[in-house]
Amino acid sequence: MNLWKLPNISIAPDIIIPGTWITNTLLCTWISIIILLVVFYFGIRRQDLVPSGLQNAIEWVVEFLQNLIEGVAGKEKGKKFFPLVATFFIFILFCNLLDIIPGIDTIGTIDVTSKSVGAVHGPLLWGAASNQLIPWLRPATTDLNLTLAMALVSVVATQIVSFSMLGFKDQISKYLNFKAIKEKGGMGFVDFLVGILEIISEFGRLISFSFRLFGNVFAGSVLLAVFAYLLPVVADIVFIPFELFVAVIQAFVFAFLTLLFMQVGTTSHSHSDENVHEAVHEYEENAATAH
Amino acid sequence: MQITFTLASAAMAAESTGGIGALGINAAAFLSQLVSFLIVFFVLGKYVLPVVQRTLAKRQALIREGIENAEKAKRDLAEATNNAERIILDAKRQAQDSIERATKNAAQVAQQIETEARERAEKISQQQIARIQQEANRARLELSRDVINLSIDAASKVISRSVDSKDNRRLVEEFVTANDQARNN
Repeated sequence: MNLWKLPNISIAPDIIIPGTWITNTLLCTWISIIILLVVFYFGIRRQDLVPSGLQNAIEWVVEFLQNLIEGVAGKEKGKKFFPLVATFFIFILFCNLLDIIPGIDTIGTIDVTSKSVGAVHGPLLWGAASNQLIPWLRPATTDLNLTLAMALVSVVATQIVSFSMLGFKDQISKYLNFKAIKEKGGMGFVDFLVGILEIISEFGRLISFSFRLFGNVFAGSVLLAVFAYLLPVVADIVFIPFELFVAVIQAFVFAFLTLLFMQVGTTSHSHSDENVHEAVHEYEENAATAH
Repeated sequence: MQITFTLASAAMAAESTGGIGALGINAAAFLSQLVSFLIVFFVLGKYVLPVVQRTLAKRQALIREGIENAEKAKRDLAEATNNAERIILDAKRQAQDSIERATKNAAQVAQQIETEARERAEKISQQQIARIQQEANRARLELSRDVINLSIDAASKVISRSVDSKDNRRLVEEFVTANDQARNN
């Protein structure tokens, strides 16, 4: 009999309260929200003029994001983009960081439907039972529902901002460029096709946003689990700092790409800056190969 | 409660269908996550981030004000230093002028005192000379008188008669006076 088995990897989150739709990732989302609000409550309640400790850390993060957003989008647009971009970064960071807390993904109930599980004695699982655990908590960003929901918010918010800033006519002409066909004839058709490709890329963006974040964090989670099986304790000393790095990077990538798409989206079609497009594609490629 | 059960049953249904359900995507979980995120977005965007931003802006304004004040103080200090240097320079110039003026005055006063002293010394000297001459004249007169008296006494002894007569006396006095004048000339 093996001392323990390779963890059972399932992409779909598990329902932990039977008869409801509450999954272990959703519970983790709520826990992340509570931790986030508690941390921010204690961080901002004093508002000392000379900050220290938690207040200092929170202010450093907020100021970093504020400078980043204003650096990319300018002061005026930056003020509009800031709440959403900052929320993405902070929320995803908190969700990702839960991945490395002991107990997440490792404490739960035994899958009673599995036939291979025999009697379990004590709090630790051995042998066949060791990979039949349904964790009570699983990092929120390892759930595609959350990453997809955030990607949807990102794309929809970008469209809302674009429509409100550029106006309906200018914005819709990015996707349905009938004017180009009328003015340029055959060559205008290419422009029209580019517009259609833009619509497809919007959907592609939805997928890339959600799967990038999900893939990276889920892979990290699996990595920790597998190495905990292969080389218990020791391997995690190496991989937990690495996961910390990934957690921050992925939160930053998601927030920064939202910022870039908002900036591109609010740039008029006639004055679009090709450099910004190039920067976005380059950044996406880098982010995809980062993990 | 009705919604809860509907969402839960939708989730079960989605999971059982496979495909997208195999990835764990289902309406109930998706909506729950979406609502959760929107709540976080609302709370952070409405209550938390503005507070931090306000604190940052306040501190930034304070630091900017501090820097401006420091620069102003620096400017004031430079100005005050310049003023002080100018005042010291003026004072030195004035002191130099005063010293020169005082030296000049002192020289004048010294010269005046010297002149006065000389004049006074001259006057005293003249007074003394006059007094000496007076004394000499008086002594000469007394001496003449004595000489006259002695001459008369001697003459009276020689001629053995009294020379108290007025004529004799006048003769002798004329003789003595003539002698004096002859000597003075």
